[in-house]
Amino acid sequence: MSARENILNRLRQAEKSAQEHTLPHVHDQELYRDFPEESPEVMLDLFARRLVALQGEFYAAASELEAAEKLLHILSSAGDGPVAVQEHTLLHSVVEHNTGLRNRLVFEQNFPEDAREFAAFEAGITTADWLIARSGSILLRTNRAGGRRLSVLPPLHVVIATTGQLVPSLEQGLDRIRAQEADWSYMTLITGPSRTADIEKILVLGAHGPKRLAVIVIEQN
Amino acid sequence: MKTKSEFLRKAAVKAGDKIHRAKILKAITTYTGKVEGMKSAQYHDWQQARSLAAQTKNYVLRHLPDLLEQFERNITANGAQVLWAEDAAEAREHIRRIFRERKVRKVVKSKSMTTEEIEVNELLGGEGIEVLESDLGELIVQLAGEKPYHIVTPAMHKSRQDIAALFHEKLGVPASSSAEELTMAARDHLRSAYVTADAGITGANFLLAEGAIVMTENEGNGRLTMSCPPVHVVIAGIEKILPAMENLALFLPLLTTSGTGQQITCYNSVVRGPRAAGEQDGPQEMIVILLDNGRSAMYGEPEFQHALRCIRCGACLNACPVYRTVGGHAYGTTYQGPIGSVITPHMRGMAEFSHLSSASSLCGACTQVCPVQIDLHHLLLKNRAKATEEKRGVDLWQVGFAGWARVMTSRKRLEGVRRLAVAGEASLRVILPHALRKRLPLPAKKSFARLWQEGAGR
Repeated sequence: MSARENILNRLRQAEKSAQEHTLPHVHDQELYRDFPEESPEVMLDLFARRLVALQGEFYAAASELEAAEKLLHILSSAGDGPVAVQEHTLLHSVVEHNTGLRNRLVFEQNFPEDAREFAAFEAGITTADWLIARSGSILLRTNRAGGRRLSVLPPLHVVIATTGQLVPSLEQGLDRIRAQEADWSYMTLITGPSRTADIEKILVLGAHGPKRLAVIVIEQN
Repeated sequence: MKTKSEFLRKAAVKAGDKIHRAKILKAITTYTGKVEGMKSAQYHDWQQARSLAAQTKNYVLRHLPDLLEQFERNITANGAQVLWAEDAAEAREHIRRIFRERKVRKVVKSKSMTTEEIEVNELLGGEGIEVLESDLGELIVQLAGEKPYHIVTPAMHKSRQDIAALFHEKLGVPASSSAEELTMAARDHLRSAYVTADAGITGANFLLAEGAIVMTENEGNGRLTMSCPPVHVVIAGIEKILPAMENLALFLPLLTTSGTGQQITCYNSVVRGPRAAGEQDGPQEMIVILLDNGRSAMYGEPEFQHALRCIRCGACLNACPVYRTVGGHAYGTTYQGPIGSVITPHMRGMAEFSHLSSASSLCGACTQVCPVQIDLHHLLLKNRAKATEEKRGVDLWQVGFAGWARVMTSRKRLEGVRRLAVAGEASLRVILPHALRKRLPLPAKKSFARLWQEGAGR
């Protein structure tokens, strides 16, 4: 008998005595005190407050042109090495607005296969699947986000998204992911820059992941 | 017996160590303030959240074998491989074979208690494979040659000065480094490891029956471990199952609120398999080892089964007055504190570990904080009962009480014993050692019943 059969047999034998239980269902709105109203203004405001409280950087932009300016501003306080960018129409149209920026950017088709070379990128730019207002989080699937490394290996992660991507809480984010099924292997929910408090519970940013997380949200009418 | 005397010895030393007590008190006070604040800030009703989580886990336990098979089927369809291990030895054998076949020389590892349970670092060291712990707390205890002190905060027992001295010796940083400088030293130390390792090992906080593993963390070392090396090995207990992604909306904030007092951890990753077709990067192989190691036996005991609801948040350790006093290392187990004292005797033997069930004041603080409503202090009592039942041979205690019961249930026999004691008193006082002799009560010359018959008190 294999380990698999032995383990499953033991569980099945015991199972007979267990009483029936049903799976409870609860909505985030009933559970969480800080569940926001579903208006873009309210959600954007809460998203920004939560992100900033975690020492993330938040920028609202009225247009793609303004987003390009914010991006330039964010990158100006990083080193002047190459910047990796996810292949995405929104990102293309934002960076189109600035020629100085374009020369530094490396798009997905030119990413190095070797992780060691990848480690040289100064920053990674991605979009998001959804922005979670209640926790100030970014929900990201790697099939859309230029791979697993792009948002974690460079010391700066910049996210460019629109107000249309805001949802109130994680439940709604996961529902929407479910609704747009695709072939993805990895999804991550990012809430603030990398952190640790393993030394005397003192908060330090940039433990292993990005030291800086900057989010630009373009307002859509 | 050796484990017990070791525990008593180490516990006595730590209980008298004021410096140790100050460090733990500082860490746990900070923790408690954050956790209590987050419970009331985030939840309408924390008790409701606990109850929903317990119900969800009850459902999972009721359907555990089916859900495990679903997990296996679904994640295999995504390209991952699933292996089963009945005990630590079998899990180690899987890992040894996987790494030998792939000629792995260097492994980067993120924090995982199941890998501690099966002692992966010792195994790989013996194979000549370099293992780098990437979680800061784990790296600290690895460099110090110690075991994790706490399931969530492995280096809770070390002050900044302790860590600075350690990093000064091992990594060459200035001995006066701040927490930030020490963290950056660890970051630099590990940066190249992620991109040069042949394999990454992680645990899993949850396994989704729909076919995914879930990992929650703050540092990003887990994400790097799952993103860069060509092979990703996951070691997870069979009780970690949740049905689907939707359950995470309850469980991720619940785990973090109890574990660290954050609303949600910095990174929560759902991994459905190795690199998929058309994806930019990711490991070519993902192998999940499902570890039993005593869990199915515990599942088979109706009274103890619900301890498998545990999500390893560490709240019961922090709440426990015994843990705070004797510290994590005294236990000599992978899982410390109340949950460790409940499950270790089932995982590693009642005979050797039942003493941990008595390392409790039964104050119930653990039960009160548990986010999945495990009745921890009553389970400790049940462990004590089980240990007594399992004990074989003549037990003086039991013989004594059987005799006592026989005497006390009969007026006649009690009177007989009294007479015997009165008659034998003089000789008893000669035989008994001095200390006992002084404590031996004098039997009454006449019993109460006799006095009553003679008309006393009328």
